[in-house]
Amino acid sequence: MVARISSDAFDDQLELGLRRFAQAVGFDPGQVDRAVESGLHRARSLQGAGAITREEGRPVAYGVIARAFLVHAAARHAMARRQTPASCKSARLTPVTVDQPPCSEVERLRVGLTSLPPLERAVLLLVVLEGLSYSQASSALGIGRVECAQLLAAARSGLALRLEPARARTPASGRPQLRLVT
Amino acid sequence: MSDSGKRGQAPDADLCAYLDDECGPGQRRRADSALTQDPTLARKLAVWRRNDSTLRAAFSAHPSQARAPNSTNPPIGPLEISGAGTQKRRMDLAIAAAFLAGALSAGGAFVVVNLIVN
Repeated sequence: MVARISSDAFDDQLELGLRRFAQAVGFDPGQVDRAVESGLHRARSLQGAGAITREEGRPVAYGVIARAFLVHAAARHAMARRQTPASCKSARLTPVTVDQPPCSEVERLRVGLTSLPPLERAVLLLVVLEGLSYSQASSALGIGRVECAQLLAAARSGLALRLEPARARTPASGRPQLRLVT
Repeated sequence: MSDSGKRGQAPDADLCAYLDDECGPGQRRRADSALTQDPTLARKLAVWRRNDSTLRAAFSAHPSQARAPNSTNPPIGPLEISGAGTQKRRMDLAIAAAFLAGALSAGGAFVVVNLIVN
């Protein structure tokens, strides 16, 4: 027996997913509401006009949020480049930041996510976290299916680079290893 | 799966398609074969699978409490430039200008009156 999801439950699940995605890509709490609202509005207006089905509205709604994220990530990147001191630019240096090693695996994951290029982060979250198919994720981001798979591979490799060395340092018990110093 | 996959060396994109169940039966067979022959590839797949689980657990457990990634990167800017802040600033400037104008007028009148009286 196939469990049917009512339209309200479908909308609730979609909204929950959109909210989770918006938070995961990096919108701050105040922006999440607006991003989710924009995504839902776009999907509903297309559904209302009969242009797409309810299920097709899902990648549309995610696409609105993902594109907003990419635009603002690019703007932030450009702003950061403008604010980099000239001495750093000429010497091809980046300002030094103190990077405290995150303690838990979830924290390391969060840091790993932020270190990924925005498009890779968006693809990873759409597919792995939100469960979109490659076709849906490609459609949401306006890229090809092959590019989607390549970006996903790059994202997973990047994340593994961040997480694996830390896991190797952490013993299986999760407790710090102590050594008798004489 | 691409040509490299057919030769038994599944590139990362093919491995992703395998992991996400986005490949056909033939591609899956080739990937299975490559994974059996190459322990490094199998290890990579295991790591990716584990990271996927961690990612889902981190954000799915409490979606309402999920927060933006660590502060190494500050949160991204507003979706659009809000006019509310600019409008309030303009109003504050107008009030300050009016007050200044009033004070100058009163001061000027005081000086004129003093000159006339004296």
